[in-house]
Amino acid sequence: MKTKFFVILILFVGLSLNQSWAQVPEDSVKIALQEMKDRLDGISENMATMNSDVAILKWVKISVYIQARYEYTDSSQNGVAGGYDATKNLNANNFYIRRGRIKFTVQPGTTSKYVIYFDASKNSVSLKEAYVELSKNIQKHTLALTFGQFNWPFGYEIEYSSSKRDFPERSLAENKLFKGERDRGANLTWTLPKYLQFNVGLFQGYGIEDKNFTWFDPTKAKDVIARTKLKLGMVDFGLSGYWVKTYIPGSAAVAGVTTWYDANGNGVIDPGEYKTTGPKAAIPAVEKDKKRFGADAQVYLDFLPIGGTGIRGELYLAKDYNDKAKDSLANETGWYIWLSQNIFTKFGAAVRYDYWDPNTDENAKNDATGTLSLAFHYFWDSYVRVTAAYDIPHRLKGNSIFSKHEDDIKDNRFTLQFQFMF
Amino acid sequence: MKKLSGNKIGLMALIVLAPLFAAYFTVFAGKAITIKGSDTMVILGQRWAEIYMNQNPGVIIQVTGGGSGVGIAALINGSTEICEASRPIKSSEIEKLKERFNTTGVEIPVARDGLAVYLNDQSKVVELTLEQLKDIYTGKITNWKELGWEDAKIVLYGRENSSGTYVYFKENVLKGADFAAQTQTLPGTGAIVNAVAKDKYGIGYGGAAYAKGVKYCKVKKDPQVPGYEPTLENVKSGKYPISRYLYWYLRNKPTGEIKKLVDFVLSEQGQEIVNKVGYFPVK
Repeated sequence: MKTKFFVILILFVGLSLNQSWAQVPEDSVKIALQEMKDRLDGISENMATMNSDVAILKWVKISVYIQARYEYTDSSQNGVAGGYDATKNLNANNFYIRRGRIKFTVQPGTTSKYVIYFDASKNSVSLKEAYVELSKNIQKHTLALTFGQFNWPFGYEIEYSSSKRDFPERSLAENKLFKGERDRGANLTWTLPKYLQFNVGLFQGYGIEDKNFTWFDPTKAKDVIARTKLKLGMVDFGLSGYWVKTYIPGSAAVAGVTTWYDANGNGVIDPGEYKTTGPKAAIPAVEKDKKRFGADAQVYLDFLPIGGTGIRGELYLAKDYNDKAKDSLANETGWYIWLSQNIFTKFGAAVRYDYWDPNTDENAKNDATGTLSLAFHYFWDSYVRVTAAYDIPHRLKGNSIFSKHEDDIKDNRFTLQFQFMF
Repeated sequence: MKKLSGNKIGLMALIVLAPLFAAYFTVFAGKAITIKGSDTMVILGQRWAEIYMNQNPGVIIQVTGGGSGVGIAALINGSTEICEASRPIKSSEIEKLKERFNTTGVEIPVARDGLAVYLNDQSKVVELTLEQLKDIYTGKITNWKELGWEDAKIVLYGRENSSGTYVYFKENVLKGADFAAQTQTLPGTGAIVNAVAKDKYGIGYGGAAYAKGVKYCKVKKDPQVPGYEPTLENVKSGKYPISRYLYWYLRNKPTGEIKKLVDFVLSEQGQEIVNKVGYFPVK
């Protein structure tokens, strides 16, 4: 009996131990699985945080382009006139950085965009653009409000990036009328579902490169710009208008003065030896109407097997401050016609004629300039473009593009440019 | 009028003519035709390329994906001859083509696609309206119980923003609204299908040709009409509300070998390949 009891007891203990041993591996597997699950949950949380950080980084786009140049001008001479002032330098054969641009665009969604854009060139760094753009889609129409410092929304070539342009510089008319291409203000753009776009904006008026009014406006009224664009695909048109008051500076009163030069050295004031300049009354500063009108057209043709052909033209008509003109206001005219040809994917060629007359009055002939520009490009890869360009400016006789003035100086310019862009 | 010196004329002529000779030899040296772009279309592009190369020995065609946006960017920067895109080119992209190549581009519809909505085989949801799809993908509806199924969080799968499928879905289903932040982005419709196949509560979208291991969700324009699957008949008749063209984009009018390839793709044989891959002929 006792033996049977001990056998049963031993069996019972043995079975219990067996259960315990079986329990230990199963428990440890469960614990290990739970630990792995906890770790995976932790990794998932970290991934979610990283995803949201990466999503924010995706909002930011950075674009850069650098233009390094060599220029050779026929009129260059050795020497420096007026100290170390580069604008008075007699030599225009130089290696230099024309543009070193970096642009940051932050776009968190489809309704807002923030841009800040710097330039480092020659020997300075400057702010080119800084603006906020808010946009809204309404039934396939888009309304956008831009506020800050950005391109004047006028014409075509102002907004055409220097990194894409065939020629080293914009037309003379654009450089005279819209120096710096940018200003501070606000602009409303309405883009219709098809073909049409309208702009209307208010601006300071003197741009970001005016040497006198660098950031403040001497006139209370702000400049108004309006533009209509019609995009038909192969042909695009634009009409632009600019209305403003311009500041005509006055001058202080000047007292009359008599001067004597002792021509015969006898110490006596003889007839003919003195000259009298009469007094001048003060001229007050005034504001006058300044206007600019523009028309532009671009045509894109695909009839040559070597690549696309672009024909672009723009006309500028302006009334602007000119201290040499009657009443200090002059009628100005400028235009260009530009032909661009792609040669397969690696090459391109372009030719442009641009005309600028700063005063179209009858008594101001012989002050117009006509410039023929030629350019050739080689695309090393998707990022690098090498350009050779030749500009032939002429002072025109009688403001005719077919006649060169006898006082025209030889100042043709050759430019070799290496551009990197991404 | 002063004349340019002989040296300057010669230099200018050399600058103009020498690269033309180089270009001639570059073009006619014989090189591969590159096709880049839509992940939705990459299999279709590869099938066309394989059969065309078999029929035209000596012609090399390279097909890669990356997304419609990547393909259009490659077209604009000159690194591909043909771009495959599952969405129309944007006006801002046409402007960039004009600036770089003086061209508005050439658009060739090469196939049609029903943009399918995928559900796991175990899902009890059968059909959704466009409004419900929008609410799901914008995060307004987050639980399957709101759609008559289990109390379970909806797991969203989608594409990255360089994808034409992403752009098309956002514009035509979400009406421009942003995707919900919890949408998991995956590189390609195949990856979406795999994810939904393994996730009972998952939902995804993509080209109709990729459905393996998942089921189509019927889509209805509004609650009053029946839902339809993305079949050829439903896409052609317009009953299936999310259908689109698939495109090839070129910089210029096709010539030479590229024209022959385009003609092949649009031929009866080329369109039969479209059917076999799971899309629908363009006509």
